[in-house]
Amino acid sequence: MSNKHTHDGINVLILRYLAGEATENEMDELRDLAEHDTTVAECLFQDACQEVELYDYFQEMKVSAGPVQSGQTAWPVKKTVFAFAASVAFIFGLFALLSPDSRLIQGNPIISDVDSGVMIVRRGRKIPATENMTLTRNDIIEVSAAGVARIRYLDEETILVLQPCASIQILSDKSGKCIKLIHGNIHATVARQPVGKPMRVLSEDGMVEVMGTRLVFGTDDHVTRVDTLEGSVALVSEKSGEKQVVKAGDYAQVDKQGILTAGTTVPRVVDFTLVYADTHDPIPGYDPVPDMVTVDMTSLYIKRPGRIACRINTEPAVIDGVTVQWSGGGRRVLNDCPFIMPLGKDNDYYLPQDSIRRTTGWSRTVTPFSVSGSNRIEGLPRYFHITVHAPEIEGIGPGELKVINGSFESPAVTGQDWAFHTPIGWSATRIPIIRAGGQPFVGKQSFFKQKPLTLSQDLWGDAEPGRRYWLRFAVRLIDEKSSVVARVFSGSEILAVTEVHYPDAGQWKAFSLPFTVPEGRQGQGVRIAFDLVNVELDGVQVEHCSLSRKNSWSSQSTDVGGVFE
Amino acid sequence: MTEDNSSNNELQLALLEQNRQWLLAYILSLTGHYGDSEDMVQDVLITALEQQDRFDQVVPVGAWLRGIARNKIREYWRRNQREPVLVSSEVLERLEQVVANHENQALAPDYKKRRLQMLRSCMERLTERTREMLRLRYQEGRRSQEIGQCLKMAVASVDMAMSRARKLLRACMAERIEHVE
Repeated sequence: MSNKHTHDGINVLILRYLAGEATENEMDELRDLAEHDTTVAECLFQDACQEVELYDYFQEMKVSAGPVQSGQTAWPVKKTVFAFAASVAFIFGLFALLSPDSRLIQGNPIISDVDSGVMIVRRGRKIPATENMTLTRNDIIEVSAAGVARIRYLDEETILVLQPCASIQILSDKSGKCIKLIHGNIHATVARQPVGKPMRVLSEDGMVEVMGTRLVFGTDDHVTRVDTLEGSVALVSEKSGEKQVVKAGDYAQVDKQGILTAGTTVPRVVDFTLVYADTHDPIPGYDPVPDMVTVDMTSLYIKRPGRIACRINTEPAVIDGVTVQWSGGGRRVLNDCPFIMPLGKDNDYYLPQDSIRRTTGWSRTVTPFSVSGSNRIEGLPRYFHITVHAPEIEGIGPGELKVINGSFESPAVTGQDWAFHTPIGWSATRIPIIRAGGQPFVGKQSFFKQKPLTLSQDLWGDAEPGRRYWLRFAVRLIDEKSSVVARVFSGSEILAVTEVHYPDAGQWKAFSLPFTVPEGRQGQGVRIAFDLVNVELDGVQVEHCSLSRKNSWSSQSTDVGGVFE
Repeated sequence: MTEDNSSNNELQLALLEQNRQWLLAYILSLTGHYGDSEDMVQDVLITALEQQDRFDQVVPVGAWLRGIARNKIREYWRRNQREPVLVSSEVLERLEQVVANHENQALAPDYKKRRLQMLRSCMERLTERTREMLRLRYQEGRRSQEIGQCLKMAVASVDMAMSRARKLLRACMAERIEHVE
């Protein structure tokens, strides 16, 4: 096997290749390896065999409800066999179409828009929801905390928007469309229904019959609530049978005891949740964010570079919009629920790239509103302030700190020493990068962490496209949980990756990771990064690379120099 | 269905059953794309059926199928205007030897069934989280990034964990094979 890579590094490369996820650079890397070491071809085939076996195994698991007979394949044969299968499927399809359950469904609800994380529970099996998937009676649709799903009835413009954490079951029958809300909130725009066949929306505690309107229906452990945005509906208590008509702009709710209450809906901001801007997943500990909180960024572990945002939680959970106004006078109207409020002065979802020193804060005023017919009902404005605090990083010494893509960097570092960016939440360290020809493996640093710690640093300069560079480093794995992944990026593209994993933990070992800067990327620099768990890392150097600062330090600028020779 | 069609189907099923796994692995190792490789296996078998009167009984079936597959793969790379990973004749020759050895083993009765049984028991050695990761990849066809999102892991960590899980499964299956032998 090639001594340029570890076995595990090659395994990961092959894994990515077989999964169709290898980048062009990784393909080049693999090609290069295969050319110099014919055993790579053997590994590739053996891994491909395992890939096929795993697919077969899991596909067999998938169809275990109707198990594949021994010796029979679950894999379809094209054309002739397909034709047969298609005939059978057609016949079964016809039966299915005419089966009592399907025949009685009014319209064909489909998933028209879906985030990842939305699952369908069908006949006891969970499958990921995909766009245009037809839903059938008894299907349960579950939306994750960060997801949203839109369900549309094909024969009309009835649309249900399932909010994060919502879960519904399709129960339509001959009497009309019917869904059961198991948990969460839905925003329903219901087209006019046939006379005598209203759409019914049920929960454990109540039910509404809808002939054509816009409403928000929600249920949790305590109450079921309906807010009518257009037209009117009647909420019926499951327990008492009592009925409450809810006109546009009003709400009614029924509790577990079956007691109905009603009033006028004035939207309000309940609280705020700190979320990852990319996924909208709540950040643990900040759901909700207390008012005037100081967020200690070192307490967060943000894997994605510093992208945090704030979700505005309203009551009702779904309203027509919120107006966000900030101290500078700017404003923005957010119409799509969940309402994700951007942080940062550029009005985007990134933390500002140039302003955080020790403590930085943002203020926002949020006003919720609902539109009922031609009336706009505004709730009370709510003030929101968030402070991000960047404490001094141990080991770096004094110096102004700032957040750049979620990493701290200190301008106090001088000379050839480079402070690695560290993700928020980990104490930083400094690792000397040795000039080409210098002595490697000095400046040992220990990272006895059980969670991955990512260290990264940008190299700037005129890298020569097509020329091979080497990232060299030494590590000592502490125990079987230890791991190291080294990566080299150009922009977001991974140029090279290797995983360090060897059986004789406790020994120092040196590794080198070759990479080639792609055409057209000269002058753009590269980033080297390590994911470390419970290891000691030593002298890191990039061969053929003379490291010098591009610019002298300034209080705000963060360019860490390094010009490729 | 005519008698000819019926016998064709039987022949195709037999061809498929005996040769599908190794052929798919062979094509996958040369294309790096599972879905395309599955399609190509079907095309290879259909071509084999269409050309069965040209089949030289002296040549092993596996070598004949590989020959057809090679043409399809060349066409595949040409169509995609990309360069394959395994290029040199020396490397390809090595691959052919490895595949030829493997296909003989794979023709053994109950080969697939035994391997699946072993895999099933070896899966028990994995943690639930790792099994879920494999399920997301191989049952739901999710990419590393999506798996990472589902399990709150970085893509590199997913790849690494996946690679380790596969290594463990390989070791476990090798252990079981040794034990049986």
